Amino acid sequence: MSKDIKDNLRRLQELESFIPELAGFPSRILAVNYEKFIQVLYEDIDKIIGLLQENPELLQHDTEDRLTLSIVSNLRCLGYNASHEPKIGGHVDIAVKKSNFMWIGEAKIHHDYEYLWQGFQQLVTRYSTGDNNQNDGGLLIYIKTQNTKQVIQKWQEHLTSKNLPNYSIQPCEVRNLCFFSIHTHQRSGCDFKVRHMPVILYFNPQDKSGLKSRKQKS
Amino acid sequence: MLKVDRENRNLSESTVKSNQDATASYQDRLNTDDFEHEPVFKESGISHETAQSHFTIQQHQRIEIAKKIADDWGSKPQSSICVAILDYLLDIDTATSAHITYSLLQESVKKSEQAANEDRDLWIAIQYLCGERVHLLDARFELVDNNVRFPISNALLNDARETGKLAHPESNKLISDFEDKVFIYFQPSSLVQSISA
Repeated sequence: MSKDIKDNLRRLQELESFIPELAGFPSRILAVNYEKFIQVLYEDIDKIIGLLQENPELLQHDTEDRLTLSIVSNLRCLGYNASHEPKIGGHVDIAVKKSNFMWIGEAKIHHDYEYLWQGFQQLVTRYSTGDNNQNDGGLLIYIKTQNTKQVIQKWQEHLTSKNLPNYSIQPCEVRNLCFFSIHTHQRSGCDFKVRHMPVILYFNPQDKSGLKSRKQKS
Repeated sequence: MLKVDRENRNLSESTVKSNQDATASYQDRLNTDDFEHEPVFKESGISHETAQSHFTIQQHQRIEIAKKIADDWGSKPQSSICVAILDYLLDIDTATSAHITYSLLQESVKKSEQAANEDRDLWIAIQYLCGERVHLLDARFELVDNNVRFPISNALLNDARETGKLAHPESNKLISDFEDKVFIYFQPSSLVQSISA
């Protein structure tokens, strides 16, 4: 029996390196437990965020929904069963399901920290169950102001000041602008882990053509 | 060619009527007399109503899946590639086609005049169809050693990717260059099998 080399694992791994859309394909198939599913999902979300961040100039006037729909569409093209505003305790922004695994995400354009807090509250008290295989969620923060690192630091301080039960913070080892918060989920009484993920959309070019363009607009 | 399981095709009259009502809106899109010329229906001995119901349900499901694909991919090549693979899977005998290679999928897409057939586009489409969104393909892995195939569980392969060595499923001997010997193949998903049944 001869085997076609084009479908061995090495070839598949090589394809991942020169077809960006295929990156993570074997990992996605092989994610057989909840932890692995979440890990691979976050890797894919990070790649999609990276794509959005490549062209912030095109997204300046996009609403929260429009930005979130872009993320959901990209997740679907990777094969995820991803939904925008499905009915789960209300209308959560993003839900991703695989078998009995579920991850939900809330998305907010950063205006102020109380607004982000409302989004966080929606995520952890309204939409999530905090049950087994559903005890991870995400907060996507679309940032159109400068200095994302400072925004995230201040958000972290604001969240800490809310004295959530058994609250702790973990840095994200994969993307240092992200962080994790863990606290006791109100409904399940179990730990609920939220990944806080900024999307950098600030765009204010200082080069000559950028300044000229702003002058013409005003 | 449509397939009918003769032993299990035993729909009650009320079920047939219910199915006909549910899919009545698709009559405009279907030439409902066409199915009667399919040999499998002529030879099966099943009733006209039963055959029509089955044909209509399958077409309805195919249309729903094709619509989802079009919603996700729009005018990108993956749209037509995925539909070509869908039609291929609905055409084969899913009970015996438990080992579909990349090459077979490539051939099925080449036969479709509408589908683009670049390697890159096909792999992206396959990735999509292995996911939960439109789950038509189950991806499986096998070790080919001395021309003998050994199925590899996902758990075993996960271990191998982390440790860099694969334990041979029979001898337990560790294989260090397993990436050259482990191959991906595909099976029709339970969704495809239920449509084809």
